[in-house]
This record gives sequence, C-alpha cells and structure tokens, in this order.
Amino acid sequence: MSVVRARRRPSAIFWMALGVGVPLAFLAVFFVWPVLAMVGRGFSDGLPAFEVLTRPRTLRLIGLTLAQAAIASIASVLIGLPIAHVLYRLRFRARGLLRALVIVPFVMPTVVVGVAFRTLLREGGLLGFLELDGTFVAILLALVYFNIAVVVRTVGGTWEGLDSRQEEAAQVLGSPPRRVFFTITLPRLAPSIVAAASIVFLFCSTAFGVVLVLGGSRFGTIETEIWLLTTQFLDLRAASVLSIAQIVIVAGMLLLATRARGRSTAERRVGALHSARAPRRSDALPIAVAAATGVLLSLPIIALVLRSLQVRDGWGVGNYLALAGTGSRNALVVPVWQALGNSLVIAVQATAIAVVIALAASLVLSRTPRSVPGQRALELFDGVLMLPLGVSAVTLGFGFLVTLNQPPLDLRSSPILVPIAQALVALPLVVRTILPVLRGIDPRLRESAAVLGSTPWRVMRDVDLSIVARPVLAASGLAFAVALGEFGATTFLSRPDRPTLPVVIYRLIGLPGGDNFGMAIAAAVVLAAVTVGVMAMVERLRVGTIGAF
Amino acid sequence: MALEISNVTVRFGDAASGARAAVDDVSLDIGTGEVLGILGPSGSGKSTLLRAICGLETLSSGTVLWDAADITDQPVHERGFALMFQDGQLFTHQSVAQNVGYALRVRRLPTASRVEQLLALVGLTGFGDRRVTSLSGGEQQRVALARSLAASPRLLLLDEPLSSLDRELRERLARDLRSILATTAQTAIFVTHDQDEAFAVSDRVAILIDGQLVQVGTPTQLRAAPASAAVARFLGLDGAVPGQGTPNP
Repeated sequence: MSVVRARRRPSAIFWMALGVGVPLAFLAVFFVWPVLAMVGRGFSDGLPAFEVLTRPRTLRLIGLTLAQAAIASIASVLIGLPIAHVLYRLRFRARGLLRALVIVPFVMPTVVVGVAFRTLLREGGLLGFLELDGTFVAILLALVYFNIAVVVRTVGGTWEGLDSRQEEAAQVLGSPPRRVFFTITLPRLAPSIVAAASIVFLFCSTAFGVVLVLGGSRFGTIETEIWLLTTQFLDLRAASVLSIAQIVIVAGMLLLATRARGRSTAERRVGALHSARAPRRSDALPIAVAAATGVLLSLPIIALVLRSLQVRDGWGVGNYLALAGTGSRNALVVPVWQALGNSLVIAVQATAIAVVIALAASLVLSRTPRSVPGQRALELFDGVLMLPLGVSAVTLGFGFLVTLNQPPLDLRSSPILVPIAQALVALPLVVRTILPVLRGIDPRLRESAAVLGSTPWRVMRDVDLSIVARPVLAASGLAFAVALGEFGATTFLSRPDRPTLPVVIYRLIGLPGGDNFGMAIAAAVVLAAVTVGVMAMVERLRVGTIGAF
Repeated sequence: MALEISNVTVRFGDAASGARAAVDDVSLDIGTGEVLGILGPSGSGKSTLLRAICGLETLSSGTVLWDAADITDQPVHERGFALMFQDGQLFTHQSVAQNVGYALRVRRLPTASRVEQLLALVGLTGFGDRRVTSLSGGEQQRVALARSLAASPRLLLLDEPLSSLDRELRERLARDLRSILATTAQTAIFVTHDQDEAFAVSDRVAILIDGQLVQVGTPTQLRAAPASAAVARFLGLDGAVPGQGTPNP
C-alpha cells in the first residue's frame, strides 16, 4: 500500500504493509472466513432459507431485538448525560474515583450481571417486590446497566474538551441555562451522543449472555435465537439467515457511529481549565440523577454478595468453600478454582494477541496519508477493525467450529481457539483506547525528533511508543477483563475438561439443586472481584480513552 | 453612574487555605456611553474582574450596581450585558448570521434586517451564510463583535478582543472598534494588556496590578502623573515620575 508519505524509503513501506497485513490476515482467517462460512451454510441447498424470516417467531424476535436495543439506548443516553455532566464538567473531590467506578458495570461479565439481576429481582430478593423477575423490563434494566458507562465515557470525553466560554457567551447574551443547554451544548455534543447511542444499540442488539440468563424461554434476541437454532434444533440454514440479518443491522450502526465520530473531531478541544467548574445550585438535577443511579448500579452487586453468603441453615461461607469441589451430584468436570485458573491463563493469551494486533494496526491508522484514496483505504481498515464489536459472538464461535476443523487449519482440538475468539472480541476496544492517543500526537513532535537526527524507527520508539505506553497498558487491562468475562463465543469453543469461569457459572445455574445455585453465586462474586481488581489497576493509569467510542 | 462596583473581591478557594484574591477589593464606576479600559499585566485579574461584573464569577464580597439597582445576585442571562472573548467563542455549529442573531432570537426579536445592518457595521456584508470555521481570525472577531452588539446590550464587556490578531490587523481593528463604539454610543469595558490599545479605544483607563486597582484616569492623566513606581514601570515611563520624585531603584 502506498499510503505513506515516505515513498522514497522502501523500508517504511515494508513496515507499513506489515502493520496493515498482519491484522488483516488475522481478521481474514479468524473472523471473516468463519463468519462467511457460517453465512454460507444458509446457501448450501440452493436458495437460502429466507422463509425463516417470515416465521411469526422470528419476526417477533427481530421486533424484540430492535425494540429492546432502541429503548435501552435511549434510556442509557438519558441517564448517562446528567452523569457525564457531573463527572466531566464539575470539579469536586471524589470525581476521579467516581469516574473509575462508572466503568465497572461495562466490563462486568454478562453471566455475572445476569445472575446478579436474577438474585436482585427474584421473590425475596432486594427488589423482589417489584415483581420484575423474568420480564422484558428486567432485560432492559440489565442492558442499561452495562451501557450507561459507554455514554458517560464517550460523551463525557467530548464534553470535557468543549470550551465552556461558548456557553458563557450565550449566557451573557441573555440565554437562560436551559436554553443554553439546548441551543449550544446539545448541538455540540450531538455527534458524540449519536456515536455512543449507536454503539449501545449495537451492544444491545447482539446481547447474548444476559438475555439468555434473564430472558428464559419467553424473551430472546436474534443472537439467542441463532444459538437456539444451531445448538438445539441444528437448523444451520435458518441460523445463517439470522446471522445475515444481524450483520446488516450491525454494519448500518457501525457506519453511523464512524460518521458521527468523524464529525465530532471538528470541535477544537481545550484543557479542563476552560470547562470544569465548581458545582452550583442549578446542577442539582444532574447531581441527583447521578447519585440515584450510583445507588441503583451498586444494588445488583450487593444482592449478589449477600446471596453468596446465604447457605441452607443461615449465613456462612459454605458456598465459597464448595468452589474447591465439583458441585452436588458432580455437576462439573473440574473444580471451580481450576476453572478460574483456566480463565486467567486464557485471558492472558487473549490479551497478548489483541494488544499486538491492535498496536500494529493503530500505528498505521494514526498516520494521515496525503492522497485521498489512501485516506479512504485507512477509513475502510478502521471500519473492518470495528466489525467484531457487533458481529454475533455466537456466529463467530460456531463459525470457528465449522471452518477451523479441517486442513489447512485444523485447530479444533487446539487450546488456542478460545483465546483467539476472545482476542477478536477485545480487539475493537483496544484499538479505540490507543488509537485516539496516537492520533492526538502533534506531527511536529515526530518531525522535531526526525530533524534532530532520529531514524524513523527511533522516532516511533521515542515519540509514538513512549506516549502510547500507558494507554497500551490500560488497554491490556481492559482486554484482560473483557476476555475474562467473554461468554458467547467461549461457550461454543471451550472444551469440557478446560472450561472458563463464566461457562462454569452458566452450567451451575442451569442445574437443579440449591447448593449448585449457591456455588454459581459465589463463583460470580469471585469473577466480579477479579474483574473489579483488574479495572482498579487500569484506572490508576488514568487513561481517558478507556470505554469511549 | 451606569455601573458601580464597590469593594469587589474574588477569591478562588477559601481564604483560610491561603488563597490569594484574584480581584482584591476593587471599586469602579462607569458613566453611560463611556468606554473604560482595564489595563494590567497578564495574571493581574483583569479577566476575572470582567467575569465578576457580568456574573460568571461569584463574588467573595462586594456589590455590583446598575443604575443604582443591586444586581450582584442577578442571574447572568438577565443582566442584559454582552461579553466578547479573546478568541471569539463563536458557536461553531451555527452560521455567521445565526451567531449574530443569537441574542435576538433569545429575546424573540426579529433578526434578518438587524443582522444585515450589524454585518455592514463590522464590514462583513454578505457573510451571513458562511460557516464560522471558514473565517480568518480577524473576521471571526468582527462577527463576535456584531453578535455582542446585536441586542443593544446595556453594557458591552470586551476581554482582550484583539490580542489573538497580528499587529497590523490589531491596529486597524482597534480604530474600527473605537468608531463603532462611538457611533452606537455603547457603554463598554475593554480589558487588555496592551497600553497602546487601551489608550486608543478607551475614554478612561483603570490600571490593575496583582488584583488591586492602582489608578484610574484618562490616558493623558496617567501618562502625566502615574500614581506609583509600579504604574510608571508598567507604562514604560522609565524616567522620573512626576509628582513622586525619583522612582525606587
């Protein structure tokens, strides 16, 4: 690809090609091929089974998927905006800590959140009186729970950089605060709100673990239906048609998000000096919303911890002690602690893969080519890297099974499949964390280093890599947390004798016996604790791009 | 007097923690139609004083009166003032005409003809449909001035409006500003760190050093009799200080 400025230097082009080639090859083999193979199954007997789209059940599930994603995105924006205002526009003492906490639900393993919401909403649970267990509302609540952070981080990051003197100018010109918000602030935030909402829509429309745990047999999404059709009814043709439908929806939302992201960069960013201020009385409403949300967000975890300490005859740590075993009536093949060990090892491998690929791709993506075709090519590359964000993890997992089980690549029995699948899921998040930092480097910094006598390699090491070191470390933590909780693809790929913790938890809640459920809760608490611990370390690095889109 | 501020102090953080006042016990008044310059080195609290007058900063103590009515606690948007920032702060998502007409729309006043009139006043006839990001720095400041003047504010506050421009443009715009303020008989406060600019635009000039008001007077008065050695040094009057004997070494 001749997208670089330095045409004269063949070595630069070579490394550029490597930076594009390795990620593309990885995506081609481990993403595009499996997904296409899955989709291809739909065409295996002539025409695809489009009639599946006309089944009343399918239509109902597509409707449910879209409705649930739309409602959850709107709710996430409505709740996330006031919180973003409080955490990114106001200056107060505990702000740093609260900004760190708000990301926690986003990285919580879906299975943990599913179990936590059931514990919270079941009869006798903390919010049992609401009688929401097994309802559509419960699913919506859980989806919003995950995604508030996306809105807060994405919109907050933009909001923090907006010069508040535009608002002040409007105020002095006679505009009351509410009008200032609607005529000045909101239009400037609109691109980032659209970007955040479309990403939330994406996450919600492909939600799997949480819907599976909370939805029971009455509610589902396209994603759970694909899972049901492939694993229970072995109707691959119908499943592949649903995969196609899902990919179309996802591609549309990604396009919208990418465009919105492009527009939001038109605003000039300023330091926090010109944006943050002390809280005033007019901030009462957003502060109240933020505080109430904070309490509500902590409830599922509190319910989870409380339930984990309940044993048959009162309170105790029996559920945790049971984690050393394999459950009543030998529900599991391996003890839960061993599953945790598996999870940690696999997550480390997944993190290594995701970070290497993402860094190579980001170093290329951060350059601005002069030629228009070059710019287009990079935009396309950027979009391709985002694709795993929205393509069904179930499709991916099943695609792995149908493609990577024969020469030239027979990896079916290889333990590397699970970390590769998890790396694919984490890859877009890693890119979105480090790419904005690399793009933010003033090109004159590189030019100064070059003029002072640095070779291109040295420039990359001294400028790009040293600036991006902390974000890479933070992104590694994020990737680790995401890999640790990944459920959709892992459930297909993990071998029975080497399960991960989320897979074990899902198995335990599906089995009869109060002891097994208690173990599942205790295991969920352990998984949540590890996740929170990792994110706490990530937040110490203070990288603002984590969880923003 | 149109505007009277008495004993205004603005402190960031609390006094107990040793925070120095950004504006320290300042009293000033301005007559209708007068242009008052506030001149001082950077960091002297000029901008903070301006923000305190329009209500964007909360006063630690002191009062602000307009036509003898106490407006100290009046919300910013009800004061009927206008503020023009150093770098314009035009609304980037609106066109030139929308920016200029903003204050009129807020007040539900007709915009079209007034906007054209203002664009003509600042020498930007026909620029209404342009995007503000497509303008040069000087043009942006002209638009910002037109926007500030649109609703005929009782008081126009200008915060270093020319500082981000190059020298030649700055001198030309200073002359334009002076004549525009004169033709509209606009009461205004003009903050700057550049004494030539202050003297060219203002009727009277107040000198602010380290948050304290050290002297107020016409340009002639200030040059003839600087109140202290610090004022003389700041004005670049390095020789003897009239009326003060020799300056401190």
